Amino acid sequence: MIFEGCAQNAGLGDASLLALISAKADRNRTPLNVHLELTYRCNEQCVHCYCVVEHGREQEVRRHELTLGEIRRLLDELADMGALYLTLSGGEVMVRPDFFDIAEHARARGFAYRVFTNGIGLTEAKVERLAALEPLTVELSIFSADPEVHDAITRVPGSFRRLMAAIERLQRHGLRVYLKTVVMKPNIDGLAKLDRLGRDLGVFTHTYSCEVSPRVDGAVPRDGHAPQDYQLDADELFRYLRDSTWSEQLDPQEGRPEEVARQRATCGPATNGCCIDPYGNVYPCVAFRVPIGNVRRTPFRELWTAPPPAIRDLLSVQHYADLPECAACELVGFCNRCHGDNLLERGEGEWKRCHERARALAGAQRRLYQIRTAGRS
Amino acid sequence: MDWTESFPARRSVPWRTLDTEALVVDVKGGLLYPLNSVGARIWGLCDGARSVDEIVGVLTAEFEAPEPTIRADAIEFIERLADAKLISIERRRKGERR
Repeated sequence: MIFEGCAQNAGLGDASLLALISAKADRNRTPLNVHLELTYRCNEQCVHCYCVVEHGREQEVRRHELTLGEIRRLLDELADMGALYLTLSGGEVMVRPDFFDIAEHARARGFAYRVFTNGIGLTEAKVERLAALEPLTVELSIFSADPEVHDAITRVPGSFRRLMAAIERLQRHGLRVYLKTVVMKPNIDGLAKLDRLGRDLGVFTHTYSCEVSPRVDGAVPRDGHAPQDYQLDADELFRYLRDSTWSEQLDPQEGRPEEVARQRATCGPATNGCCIDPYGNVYPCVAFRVPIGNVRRTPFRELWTAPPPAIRDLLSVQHYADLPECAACELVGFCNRCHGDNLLERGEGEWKRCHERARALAGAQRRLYQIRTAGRS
Repeated sequence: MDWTESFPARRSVPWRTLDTEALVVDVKGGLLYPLNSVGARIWGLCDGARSVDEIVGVLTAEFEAPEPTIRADAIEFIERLADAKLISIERRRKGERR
């Protein structure tokens, strides 16, 4: 029967068909997921932020940002190349007065788009306008249920109160609210309370991450503290994993390291997606800051189809065994290394080496896994 | 239902054709619908200008299967798309303007 499987696929979203389509997108290098950074300006100054411009430099950087016309043309090109998922990110997207024009164009060009915002500028009128533009999700960072801790991380007094008001407005307008928490030294002690708050708010989802990326420009903020200064140490990582619901889902790949390394796929930047910064530079992903090129000088299609040697080298790494140290590492089955963070931490010639930060997390995960499996047997 | 006078039209939802398959996103429901190559072809034909009968005619010319089989399966598929609110089915006489 010629249509076998077709009707149920339409109704149910068949998982194997989705896997087939994803595999094809990878093979054809369809840029299915695009992370578009609209600005690095922000009305918060989070202590751990990897990109935000410090106050006082806003006007200087604003002049170099892609214009509305350039962004519209870029979105047209991306849509024609098969890009479906679009993340509108910052900085803080709402500081751009043309944000809604950009979102409107994204919707008109058939993108399923997400909006990353800190929420503090989301007035009733803006939320109403956003709801009419039907984003897939609105994703906000929350650092603590304790307003003082949250405000100390954002460095904006009253930001917690304004965030709560924004969440209420977004939900009232039927938008899907996605909360995200970066777990760091300043907020690790309040996670249980924060988790309860997320549930009480009835948000669509609330996820946690302990990954703090170095600044993409390598600059040290005026206060002298780099984002990495706020990272959890080994004991804190273990405590975080032990107490979080995430660690319940530990599912390592077991076996001899060299076998696991051959089978285990690494993250694949530039395979089916990319990141484009506010100035038109195209990168393999948010973290891997080796430019593929700039859309102001070269059309995206050209950049994407003929990447420079450094990007071809990155694309050649598909499994842990393609990296020099992983096949001999007993933690490979737990590891979720980030090539980009490793590049930022070690420098361009060294990113294939062990990602020490991922190794520390993998070590904590293995320790916890061993305790839990011993307890079950 | 008279399929000669039924015109399925895609709703304004995000979607892309990828190679021969397609992905369709139901933003309101938060669901992703992967469509196989035949489903993607039907989805592409649901442009509001063709009736179901005309869509069946196109498919019959493209696929080697008996017309009644194609008709039954295509109608079932279109009805499922409508149930999922991914398309609307407009009833009008042939030649009548939208």
